[in-house]
Amino acid sequence: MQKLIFKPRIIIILITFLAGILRMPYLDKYPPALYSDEVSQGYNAYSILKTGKDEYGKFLPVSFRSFGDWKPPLQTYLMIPTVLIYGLNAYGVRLSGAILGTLTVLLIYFLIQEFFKAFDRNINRQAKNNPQIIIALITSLMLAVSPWHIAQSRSAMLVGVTLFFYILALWLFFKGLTSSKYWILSAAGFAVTIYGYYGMRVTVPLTIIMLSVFFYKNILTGAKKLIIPAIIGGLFLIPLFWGFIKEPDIVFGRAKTVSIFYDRGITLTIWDLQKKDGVKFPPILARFFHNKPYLYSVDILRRFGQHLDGRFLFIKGDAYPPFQIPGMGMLYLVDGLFILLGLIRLIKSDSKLTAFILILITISLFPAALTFLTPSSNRSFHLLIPLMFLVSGGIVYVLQKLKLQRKIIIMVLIFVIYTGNFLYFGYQYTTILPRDHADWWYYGYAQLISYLSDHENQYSQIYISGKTSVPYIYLLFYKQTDPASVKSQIRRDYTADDFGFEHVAALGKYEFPRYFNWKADSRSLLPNSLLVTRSDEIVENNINLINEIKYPNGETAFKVYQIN
Amino acid sequence: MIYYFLILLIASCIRFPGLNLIPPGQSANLVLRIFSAFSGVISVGLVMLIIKDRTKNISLSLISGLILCFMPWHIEQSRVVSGVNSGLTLILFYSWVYWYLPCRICKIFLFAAFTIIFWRIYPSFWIFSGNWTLPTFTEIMGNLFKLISGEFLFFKNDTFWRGGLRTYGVMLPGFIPAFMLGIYLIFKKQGFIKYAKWYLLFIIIWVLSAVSPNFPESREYFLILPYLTFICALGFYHLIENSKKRLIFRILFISYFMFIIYEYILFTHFYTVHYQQRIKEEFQYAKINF
Repeated sequence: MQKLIFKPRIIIILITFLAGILRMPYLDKYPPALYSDEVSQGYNAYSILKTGKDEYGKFLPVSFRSFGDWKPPLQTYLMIPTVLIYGLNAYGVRLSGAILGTLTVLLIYFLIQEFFKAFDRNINRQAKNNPQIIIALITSLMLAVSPWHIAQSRSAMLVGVTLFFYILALWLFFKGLTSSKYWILSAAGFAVTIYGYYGMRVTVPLTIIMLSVFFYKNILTGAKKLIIPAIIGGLFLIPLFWGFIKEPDIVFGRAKTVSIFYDRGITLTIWDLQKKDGVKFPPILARFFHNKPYLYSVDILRRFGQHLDGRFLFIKGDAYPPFQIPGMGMLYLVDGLFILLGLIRLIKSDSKLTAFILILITISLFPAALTFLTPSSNRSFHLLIPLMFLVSGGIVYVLQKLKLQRKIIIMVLIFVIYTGNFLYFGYQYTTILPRDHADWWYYGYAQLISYLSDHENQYSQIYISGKTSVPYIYLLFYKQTDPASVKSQIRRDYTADDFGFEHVAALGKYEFPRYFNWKADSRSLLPNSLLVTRSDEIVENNINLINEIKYPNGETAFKVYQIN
Repeated sequence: MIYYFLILLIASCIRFPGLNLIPPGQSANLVLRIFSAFSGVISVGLVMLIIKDRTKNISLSLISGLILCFMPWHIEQSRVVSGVNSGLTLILFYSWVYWYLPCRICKIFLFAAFTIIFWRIYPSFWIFSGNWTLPTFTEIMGNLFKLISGEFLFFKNDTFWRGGLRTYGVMLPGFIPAFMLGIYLIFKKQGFIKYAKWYLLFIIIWVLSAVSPNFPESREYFLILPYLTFICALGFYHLIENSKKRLIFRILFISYFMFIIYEYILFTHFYTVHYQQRIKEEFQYAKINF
């Protein structure tokens, strides 16, 4: 009987094709609507396309002010070609991320191969003899079907594209260990990653330090060859530094308002405990027992651990919509078993590789551990690299120990289990999420704006409650407002709320009362106007309800009242 | 031998003084608390004996004893009326004696006797309570993960809500490096599959705690403390051995040890001052045998 010979290249092409099938079609349906951050990026991409400036009139910004959260610019700029081709819609916004998400699946295959070469593991082209090739293929396959990666690839939430460039930079670094010219591109890759997401401003420097420590011999022997990469990396970062000098929030922006140091919880805890120590308790001792360095350190460690908690990874997932996948964690439950086996295999076989993977895990979680909204699937997204590697290592570990007949049985069993898990995820993502949790994605704005656009000429004023998120950006997006005219129509309130978000008070005849309350604000509503509220906002019974925008499950998203 | 007695003496000094004051409770419970404290001290001794017998490593056994002696959850349970604390002592005694029994019939007889005594001293164990309403599969999986999570082990132990030290985990956060090193060493050197039978009891307790209808109020998980103690002790032992090799390692270890002492001072302050305050504010003495 002829032995089967695996051709890795054919398999990786098929896996990449599978990844594309799971990421690119129906971007307008899954997820069910465009989130406010996506809409903001899309409109700013459109604005750059039309005028070269963002919605604030800033020319080619290195950070988009958006809602006062200063979004990193990479994904927005990557949207420009797709917005040009597809227009201001879900495909225009999400397609570039989906394409890069697909290519990430391909890229991680090459990364794992270079990774093994870098750690002096023999690797050849014959898959059947070489577990490293098989591990690379399985890592790629696991990423292709990973619910966490699929969900992020199908939405424009910054981290999907960032992961692509991060893996690209890592791959080029490892290639550079044998041919240093790749370090130039690697430096550029790392620098570009910094423009992708706030967390990368912590992750990238730590990664570079880690790589320098692990491969110091290679780096020292080729030290002169680092000069050009360093210059290239620095050149790429000049716009960011320049922007920082003019506006510090460009670098820190949103990171400041979600950081644990911004949250007052620890300060209040210290104050409470010191108060309970009593007035007679020596103050110096009170500070010794209750102090910020210790409490913040413990808090960071705790939040770090939350991202390795099985409940986050396998059962409940992210605590905050829209990053949740209903009814499951960020990974498949069966991944947990293979992660454990992969870790055991790694620990038993190679100390240096173990240390590298564990440090990579630590670096991946560090930005997330510094924020108070934890666990966060967005900020810990790069954890996918070591986890998928461990899953594949675990699968290979199990199969290696078996003889051929049992190996086939176990392979079939693994395939069946993963298929079952995947089908469950598919059902949750394509049926349950759009039907029962469309509100997580601010569903209804497209329909609302369409309705308002059709009727706006009949009314003198249209009020949209500020509790409905950020209605102004949806108006700009769905009405495809000419960016050149925005500045003259918009009235902004730059006072940030408790979460650091700024507000828009009005846009043309549309007004957005920030903390709308019927009792307080109803008297200021003009006659012959419309009022739009969320379904749970209280309005007088005798006000004429003329339309309701509903979620797919029949519940009301928005109510439209006529004010006479 | 003297070191063993010294550790038992330290354990006694932590568990007995002020039993009727910290934590506050009814004076009628004092006798039961004394019994609980006594069980706690004995369990420290038994852990040392068992680890010495199994590993033939005296240093490791002494470190294990010290760790259990100072473990927050063990201190807390030794100073209240705690059936699970007494249950742990009984299990440890059974484990120790089991190896010395000459015949199978003796072992079976011992097991039967153990089960009856366990039922008598730990009647609140949920299996004995008759309430066998199990959580759903998703809840069970969530509970299983919670019990091995970093948050539960090092930061927030809420298995005993009204009366427990819920602002601390099972162990102090400073133990994380030693614990992780211990896990690493078990995977690397001990042979995870080969020693699976030793982990069988841990798995049984883990699952029983996770399926408890009273979860998170499931103090049954307290019974795994010897495992956690051993893992931490393994990590500390390795650190101490390595600290002898180079000056820099010694400095690092001493710094780490000083930090552990600092954390224990914080814990002592919390336990003697703030824990009392919280218990007095929340606790209704008439309702629970505390």
